[in-house]
Amino acid sequence: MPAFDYKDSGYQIRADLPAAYRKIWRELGAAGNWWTGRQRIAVVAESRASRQCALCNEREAALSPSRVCGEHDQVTDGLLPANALDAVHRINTDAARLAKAWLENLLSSEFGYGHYVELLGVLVAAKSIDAFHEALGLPLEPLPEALEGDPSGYAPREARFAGAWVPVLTGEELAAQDADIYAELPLDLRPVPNVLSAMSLVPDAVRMLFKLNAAQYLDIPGFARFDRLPGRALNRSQVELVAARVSALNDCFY
Amino acid sequence: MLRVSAQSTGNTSLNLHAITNPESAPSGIQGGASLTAFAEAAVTNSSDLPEARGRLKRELGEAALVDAAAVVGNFERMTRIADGAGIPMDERNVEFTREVRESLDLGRFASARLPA
Repeated sequence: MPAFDYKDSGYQIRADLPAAYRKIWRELGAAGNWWTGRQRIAVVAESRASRQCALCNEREAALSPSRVCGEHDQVTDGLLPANALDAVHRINTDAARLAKAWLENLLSSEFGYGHYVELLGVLVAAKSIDAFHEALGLPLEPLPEALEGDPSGYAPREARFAGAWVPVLTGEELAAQDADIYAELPLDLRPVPNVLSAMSLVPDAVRMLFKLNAAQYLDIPGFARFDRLPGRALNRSQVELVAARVSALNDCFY
Repeated sequence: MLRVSAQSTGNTSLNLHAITNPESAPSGIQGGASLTAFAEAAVTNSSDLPEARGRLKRELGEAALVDAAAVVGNFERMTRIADGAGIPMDERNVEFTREVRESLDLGRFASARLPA
């Protein structure tokens, strides 16, 4: 059975969703800039498991997560170093209370900003697909197959600190190989919104973001449509109400 | 974006408090109560989720339910990007959102970050 086959799901699911999900699933299993395919899949597995992690549950309930120490329950046999494991579990279970100091304490010579941003990009891509399945009461897709290959180690030289905790490509200067990432954004979305540039230290994470946005939310031309949305049953106000409620439930200020 | 979309379609009954407290008042959006109940049940993984799904499907149809599930997925992602990367609010939105932020008391969130 192909991945994301919704034939027997009980729902009529528009074709652009499984098409996007299949592409993302393949990409998640391949080596990235900083992690192997096996490690990227481990990020997804740990993110899924973090909701049952005793330490995460205790931290989530605590007034201050930093007061609760211990070790995470892990399901991937040490494929990820401890700082990466902590990042995955915290981002999934308690993202609104992350702090710059927490991230700076995680960083090491073996776990730099690039590792962190790629891990974030992998985690959130899988999370958004899993959340879609859970919202509809569908089983989660089995983890993607890991492809062989080594991380490229690519880091855009133009990335700089511009207000986020991590270096970003603001869009003012881009190397030829990254010139596509914001190319379709209209002038009224310049400067590039922070949420779109947040993961640009790993340009493929931005490419995945736009693919998922187009299927799950809006494609770039859709940003400028405020009434009916072609091919969608919800109008823009209904979409934005759901978006705003989800953001509020996640205590997300942005 | 919710405010802009409502304004651009002539909706004068939008109540933004439905974002943080949907029980307080109707949102002024068609199917708003079903949409916010579904979003909440999905995000909190509540036992109410099957009922919320059924209600939304009855009120707005199956395609709307699928769309809403996709938006839930999208914003489970976008919120973690914002908070994981520690981005501040965009400079151009600071003044535009001031009234809404104050009215909804969004500054209480640990993730509240304005540009330096």
